[in-house]
Formats: sequence, structure tokens, C-alpha cells
Amino acid sequence: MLAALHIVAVLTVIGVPLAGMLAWARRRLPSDQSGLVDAIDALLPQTQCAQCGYPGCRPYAQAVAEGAAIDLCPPGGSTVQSALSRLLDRPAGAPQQSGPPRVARIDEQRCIGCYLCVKACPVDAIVGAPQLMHTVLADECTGCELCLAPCPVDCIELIDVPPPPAARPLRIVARPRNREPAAPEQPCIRCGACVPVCPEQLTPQELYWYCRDQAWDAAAARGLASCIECGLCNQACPSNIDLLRHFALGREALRAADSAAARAADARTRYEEHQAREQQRARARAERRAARLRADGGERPWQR
Amino acid sequence: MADLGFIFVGALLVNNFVLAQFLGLCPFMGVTRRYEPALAMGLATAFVLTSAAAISHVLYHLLLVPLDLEFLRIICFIMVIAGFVQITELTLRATSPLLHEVLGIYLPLITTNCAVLGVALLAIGQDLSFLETLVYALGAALGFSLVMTLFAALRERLDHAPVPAPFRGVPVALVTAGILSLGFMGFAGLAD
Repeated sequence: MLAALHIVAVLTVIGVPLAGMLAWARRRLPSDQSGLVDAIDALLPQTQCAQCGYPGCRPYAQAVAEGAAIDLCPPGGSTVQSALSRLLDRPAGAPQQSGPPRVARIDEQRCIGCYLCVKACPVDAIVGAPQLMHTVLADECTGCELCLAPCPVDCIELIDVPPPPAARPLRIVARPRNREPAAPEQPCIRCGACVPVCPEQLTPQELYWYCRDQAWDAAAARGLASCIECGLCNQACPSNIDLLRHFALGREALRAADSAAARAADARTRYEEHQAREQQRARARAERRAARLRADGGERPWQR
Repeated sequence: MADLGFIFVGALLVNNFVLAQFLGLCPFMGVTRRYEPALAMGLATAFVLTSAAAISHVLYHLLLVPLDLEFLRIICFIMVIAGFVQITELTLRATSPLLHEVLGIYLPLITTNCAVLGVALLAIGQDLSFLETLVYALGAALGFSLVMTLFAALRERLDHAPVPAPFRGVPVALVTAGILSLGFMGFAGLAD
């Protein structure tokens, strides 16, 4: 009997302070989710198209943080989906069938200048003024279809974006004049001969593995961006690997990713400014209305 | 002093809890796919392990032994461990929600990580003093973190290695773990 009492007493002595400590910790430490939401929001394309069913990218990021599906973003497609699945360690669903990118086009003959589509556009891609013809800036349009519904004369349609002309930057590499014909490439033997010659103190050998496997993120983390493409590693390589070609491809991929990120950030700012302007207009309208009501003394001529 | 050193190195390398005693294999295989989560998991487990072993030692000698209740030790230790795991989880959720999301279920599973309970029980089985228990637990904790980071680094490199298709993923990781364990056998005789 005494032993049983002892057992209860011991477990209480251990349990009560632990419970107290936990309660204190729970109160002191806020269960803050905003860091995660920021990280998710940064991956979303910021088109604010609401095709996911949430009013914008930030609300969708919040929903994902609370467990919503990660495959609801059509503009992001499988790229965003796989990035989210990496970030959250959740399985990526079947890759989405995303068609070619599309933009809106206004049939200017039929446009009546009602200004409704300009207000609906989340990224200010439609220019024009009331009673005048509107048109779409194809570079800014994200193809979100939000302008289709408000148009009273159905003069907006989505068209496929014509593929951009292949305007790749010209790259010129100076080579010694009497260079022997290129010997066949052999596998990397990890000799490290390329490391000491690199003027930027990179490890071309590692960069080469990552570029070959198209692990651009890993390559960027090892400083691929600071490669000056001098070609010294090419000459040092005993296996005759054209390291320069791999690095050039990698830097191209990094540049493409950078410009996509810049466009997304730009779209986000424009969306936020647009929201702020809309709110400002709504407030001004409400004030004018209130002033009008005050001016006529609250009388309703039609109710007299 | 030399004694403490022996205990420390013994727990850290020679009798490494993961690679020599095969305790705590669940996070060892589960959270070592990438380096940062593995390091965080190692440090979280290290914190829980050290504090739980110290508190368990005090409880055992001040409460359970005088009352002749030694048979309660497992349930008492588990309670202490579970409490510390909860505190760790709350702290982590407040300070780094991203890491919290990445570690996911493995964080509460520290409670059932047998290395944590193992250290507390083994320290009592070997009749260590409080200071010795602390050093022993610290060694075991650092050993666990060390192995986690080592293995995660190896697996990150394995991702880029040309592994034959049937071996990709877990199989080659298991083979790697075996070789790593063989390597740690080389420490035998270092501090015993």
C-alpha cells in the first residue's frame, strides 16, 4: 500500500514540474508561422491570378503552410510544384500538363472603352482610359484570364505567345592560334589539375559535376556566377573535358532563373501598388458620397 | 581527469551509439537526406539527450533509490525525455518554422529514439557519478551529431554519384552506413 502511494507520489513529482515548464514554454514562445509563409511566397510566381482559388499568392502561401495542396498554381506549373515539394518535403503530384504561355489580346475594333478590364487586371497590364480604346501590354500580361469575365462585349481573348526569337548573347573565346585538334573527351578522373589554375579560386572540377548533372543550385552555391570563362581549366584538364562549355550552359541557366525571379518580384510590387490605388479610390468615393449626403441635409427627394 | 577523458572519447567514438551500438537508427536513416536538417536533428537530439540523462541521473539517485522504486526507472525516464522533446519542439517551432516543417514527425520521434533512453539507462548501469554521467551523455550526444552530419554529407555527395539504378537511394545509403560502421570499428582500443 505504501509502495503504491510512493509510486503515485514519484510520478506526480516528475510530472507536475514538467507540465508547468511546458505550459510556460507554450505561453512564452509564439507559434509563429510567418517565416514558412514567406519562404513559400518567395517560390510562387506572384502573378496574383487567383486561379488556385485563393485571392492571391500570399493567401495561397498561407494556405499551403496550413496544409493546402501544393499543385494548385497553374502559372507556376511543375517548376513551382517541385520547388514546393522540395521545401516542404511533401511528395510532388503528377506533373501538370501546362500548355504554352498565353496572353490576353483586346480586339480593338469592338472595345467600347468601359474601363472594367483595367480595374480587374492584377498586374496593370492593360492600358487605356475611360471612353477610349484599351490595349494589353503582352510583356506584362500573365495570362490569368481575370479580365475575360468583366468585359461586357467579350472583346478579350487569350492567344498563344509567339516564341521569342533566339537572341542568345554571342560568346567569343580566344584560343591559342596553333592549337592541336581537340582530342576526344574522357571521363573526369578527379585529379584536381583544374583547381590551382582557376584565377577566381573556384573548384572547376566540382562545378563541372554539378553542371553536368544540371544541379544549377548546387553549382551556384559553389560560385559558378563568379566564373569569368577564361578557359584556363580547359587547358589544364588532362581528360580534355570542355569545362567552359558546361560552365557557359550553367551560367545561362542561372541568368534565366535570375530574370524570372526579378520579373516575379516586379509583378508583386505592381500588384501591391494596384491594390493600394484601388483602396484609395474606394475611400475617395465613399467620402464624396458622404459629403453629398451631408450637403442635401439627408433629404431624399424621391421619398418626399 | 583522465577518467573523464576516457569516458568522453569512449562515448563519442569507440562505443558510438549509432555506429557501434546500433541505437537511434531511425533518425540516422530518416533525416540524413540533406545536410542542414541532419545537423539540426543532431543538435536537437543532443540537447534532449544530455539534459534528459542528467535529470534522469538526479531522479534515480535522489528519488527512486531511497524509495526502493528502481523498477520505475524506464517510465520515469521516458516522462523526462518526452517533456524535453516537447520543449525542444516548441522552441524550434517558434525560432525556425521552416526547420520544424522539414523535420516533421522525426522531431516528436526523438522521444522514442532508443539512443536517448539508452544513454540514461547505460549511465546508471555503469554506476557513473553525476559528473561522469554528464560527460558520458555529452560524448554520446556529440557522437550522434557527428555521425548524423557525416552521413548526411556522404549522402549529399552520393546524390551526384553515378550509382547503378537498383542501388539508388536507400540501398546505397545502407551500404554506406555499413562501411562507415566498419570505419568506426577502427577506433576500438582507443580509450578502453
